[in-house]
Amino acid sequence: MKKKYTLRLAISAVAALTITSLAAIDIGDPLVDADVKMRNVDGSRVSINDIKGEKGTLVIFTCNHCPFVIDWQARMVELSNTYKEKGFGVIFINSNDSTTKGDSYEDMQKFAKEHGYQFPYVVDETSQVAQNFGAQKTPDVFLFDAAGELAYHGAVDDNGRNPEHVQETYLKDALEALLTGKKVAVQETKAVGCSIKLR
Amino acid sequence: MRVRDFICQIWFRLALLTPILLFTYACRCGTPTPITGIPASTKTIQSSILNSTEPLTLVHAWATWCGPCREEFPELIKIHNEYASQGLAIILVSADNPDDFSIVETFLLEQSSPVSSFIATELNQAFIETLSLNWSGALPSSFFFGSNGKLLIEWEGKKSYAQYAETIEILLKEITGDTP
Repeated sequence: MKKKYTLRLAISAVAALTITSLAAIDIGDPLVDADVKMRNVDGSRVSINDIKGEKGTLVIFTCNHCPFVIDWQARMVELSNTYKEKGFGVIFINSNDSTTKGDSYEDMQKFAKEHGYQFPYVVDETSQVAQNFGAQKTPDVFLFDAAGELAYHGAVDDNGRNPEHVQETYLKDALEALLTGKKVAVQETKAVGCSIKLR
Repeated sequence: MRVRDFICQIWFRLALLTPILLFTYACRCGTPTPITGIPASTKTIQSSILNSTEPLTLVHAWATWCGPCREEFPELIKIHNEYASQGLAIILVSADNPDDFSIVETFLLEQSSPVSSFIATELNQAFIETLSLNWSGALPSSFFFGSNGKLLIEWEGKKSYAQYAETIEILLKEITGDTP
């Protein structure tokens, strides 16, 4: 008993010294920072409120070079372009420090054009939006329902590396559920990603 | 001696096929384990944590393409050199593509790493939750386990040598200090 108690104390001491946590929104929470204007790759300034869809809103924290982003890129863009046409608002947000190699505004413009983005790709200039969402890595998917409440958070699907071996299409299933007025069955998932390089 | 060397060579080749054996190779053969990247399933990684013979095991998730991971790596080597003899085991788990394990091997050799690295073959939710239910999946991340495989402390992001050392010294003192 004594050993457990002292170890718990030690862990608490270490945790206080070393662990930092970000405020994160949970399933059912409302959109945050929806009125923050961010610079889009077309030069305009866009907020999440500006692009909200009647069926829901898809927010993806992403970047230009993370290998996990590259793995999922084609699927993320295809889903985004497809469901934008079906009534969802879509926005991709880059919260990385722009001095990170490959994450400059010009790199974003080039990347969006190359990959056929039909939705805003914006710069989170202070990384504050990512911090208020609790986004810690790229890619990180947040899907809100028509009422602006978080309905799904997590991965695009269950296999970034091998699209042909995907068994669970989490994001697509969540989008389809919201589109048809159903509850999202799997609301939270996890995937390995690149840490967001906060400013 | 030649027979022993031959057996050790065969053992190492077999160990590459069944990665958990690599961790016993050095002890049995009395020679340094060749440093390499070892593709490993989630089950293998979990087994290596549970089978660690040291009182404290640091599992570090990283990747060669991850900038903060590369910056932090020399600190980890210093940590290993300082604390391996004091009861700390380090298990490296790379998120690189296991098909490109030579990239991991080259990086380890460039860094003069004293330990090999697993390369996770399954980067899914089960893998994440094997290390911690609280882990977001971001790289780099570090997890400290006790000898019973119980997760004690974890963090995401790059840390300094001093931050690692402080944590390790507190945990080792408490873990080993109470041992009868």
